[in-house]
Amino acid sequence: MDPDLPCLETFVILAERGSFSETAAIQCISQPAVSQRIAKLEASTGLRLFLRTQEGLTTTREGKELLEIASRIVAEHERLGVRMSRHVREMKGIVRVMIDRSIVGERIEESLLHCMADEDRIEIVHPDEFHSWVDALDHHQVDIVVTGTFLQAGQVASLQRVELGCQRGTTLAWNRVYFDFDPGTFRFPEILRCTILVPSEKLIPGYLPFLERWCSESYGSLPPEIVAFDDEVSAREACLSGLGVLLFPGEADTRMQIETAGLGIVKTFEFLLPDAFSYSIYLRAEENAQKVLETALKINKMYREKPTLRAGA
Amino acid sequence: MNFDPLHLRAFTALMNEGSVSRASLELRTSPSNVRRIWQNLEEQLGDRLFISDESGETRPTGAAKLLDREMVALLNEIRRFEASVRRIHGNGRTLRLGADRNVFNTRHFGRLFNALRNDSRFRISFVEVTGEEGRGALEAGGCDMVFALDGTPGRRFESRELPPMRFDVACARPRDGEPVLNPSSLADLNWSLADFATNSLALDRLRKIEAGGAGSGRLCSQVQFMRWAEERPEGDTEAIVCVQPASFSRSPQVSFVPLESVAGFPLCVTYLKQHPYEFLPVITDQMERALKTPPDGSRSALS
Repeated sequence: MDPDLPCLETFVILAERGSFSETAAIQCISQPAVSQRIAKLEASTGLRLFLRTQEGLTTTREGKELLEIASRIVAEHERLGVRMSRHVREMKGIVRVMIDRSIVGERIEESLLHCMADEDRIEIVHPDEFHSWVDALDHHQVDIVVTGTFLQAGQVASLQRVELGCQRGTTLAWNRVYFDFDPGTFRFPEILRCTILVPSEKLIPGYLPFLERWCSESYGSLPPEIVAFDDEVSAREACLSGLGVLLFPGEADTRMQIETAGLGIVKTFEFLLPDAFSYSIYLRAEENAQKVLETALKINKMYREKPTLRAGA
Repeated sequence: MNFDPLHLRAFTALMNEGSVSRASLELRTSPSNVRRIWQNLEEQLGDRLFISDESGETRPTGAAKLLDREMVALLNEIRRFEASVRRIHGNGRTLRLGADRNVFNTRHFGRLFNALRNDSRFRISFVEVTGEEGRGALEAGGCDMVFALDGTPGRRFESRELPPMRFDVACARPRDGEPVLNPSSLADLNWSLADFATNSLALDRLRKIEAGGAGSGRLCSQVQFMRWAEERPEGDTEAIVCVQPASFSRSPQVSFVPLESVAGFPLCVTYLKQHPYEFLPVITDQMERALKTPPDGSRSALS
């Protein structure tokens, strides 16, 4: 017998989801192809793996036993890819940098590519391709992460952090045509009656869950709609066109260059959240690859020496 | 980086065999296919994996050795998977036989059950499946083989007829000196036929017995028959033609004598054509052999 990896993968997903159609969608194959792969695996093992009962699909006792090993095989296969791509990067001195989709991030990306020497080999990726940037860094899928975070998000022992900037409080901004709040008398609970525009977990990790908890615990309700953005440019567009009230941690108005657009702007919670937003470079704590450290230093230096990277201008 | 499993297999073969031609034999594919995979992998890794000399021998580079080393964990898990499968096979796979309660409770089924019970390839269990449920139970995997008077139609199923279940006559009064009965011996008795499945089939058998010179009989249900046989038979009924049950809840107050010359109820076995157990057709042959009625002498020893 020669267990066929694609069949094992289908087996693991089907056991987890319990639905042929969902499994087909995840694997990007047709539903009959899912059944066929399961039939093939059942034939090659000579065992029944699933029972199709009225309540749905369940694994048999043998299926359960094999499922455990099959999941390990699938995970090992994935890890092999990760380990090998890390070796390839190390061998060729490629540094893979993940940069968030903030406006500052885009500028860093631009000038990093711009001032790259010929022998430098830098690959730039964005958070949307990964499940979580902390895991991506831990599992060597990337070498450096440049991102904004809320409070302590991302401060874990396995990572080291170089803080580029730190901002307090939270910023609210709205289009005055649609929302006639007076910035002088604005009170935070007003947002419970508006659509709010917030950074997603990919843009500023930690903020959205905090906000949801804050709203439900302090005011007992959530805004009618919460729209999360993976990048600052679309969040800014949405705010300017009046889709909702923008709610971003730190000095979002200057970061996103909306202070001159005639919006209503309020800053609040400066004392409650003194270190709300930080923009930092993250590396693995045990990192010792010369190229990676050099690149991190370069980003740090670039950020500090070029005020144009930070300010609105 | 995501490695195609087929590529990994080709890589392992190249690593072990040390030449494209030998690897292609091992993989049962063409050398050009192996060469194409080799090239794909090198592109993916951006590095040479093997260096080949004029005689076609391939030597692994550092990168190949690295990949080979990194694959150890994966291969170990695969081996563990294979070992688990082998262990489950070694302990015997569960074989669920599904049948109606009435079919199960016959000496006929008992013989079939015992013919398979000691086979080390599987462990037998019995699942009660009434009438219409058989098809669903096979499709759902609730049981592996279903036994019934008729097969299950459908192109996914394989149905085979097994030796039929023979009729006995349950007699209220012992009939000494008669090893078998003919339908004509029923002529002056008040008799019924116990029906445990399909009415039309039982009716057909009833007509046949009557045509054999048995006068006229009636149909009764298996439940009625069992009650009649267990309680002291009183009233009009003097004999019931039946498939002899394997067990009663109380000891039967009747004696059984085989009925000659009329075929009993048929027995069919059905299973999925695409069943993971490869041995189902073989054990069907085995069951058939076990059930082939031995000569009369040994049959009376059974009843």
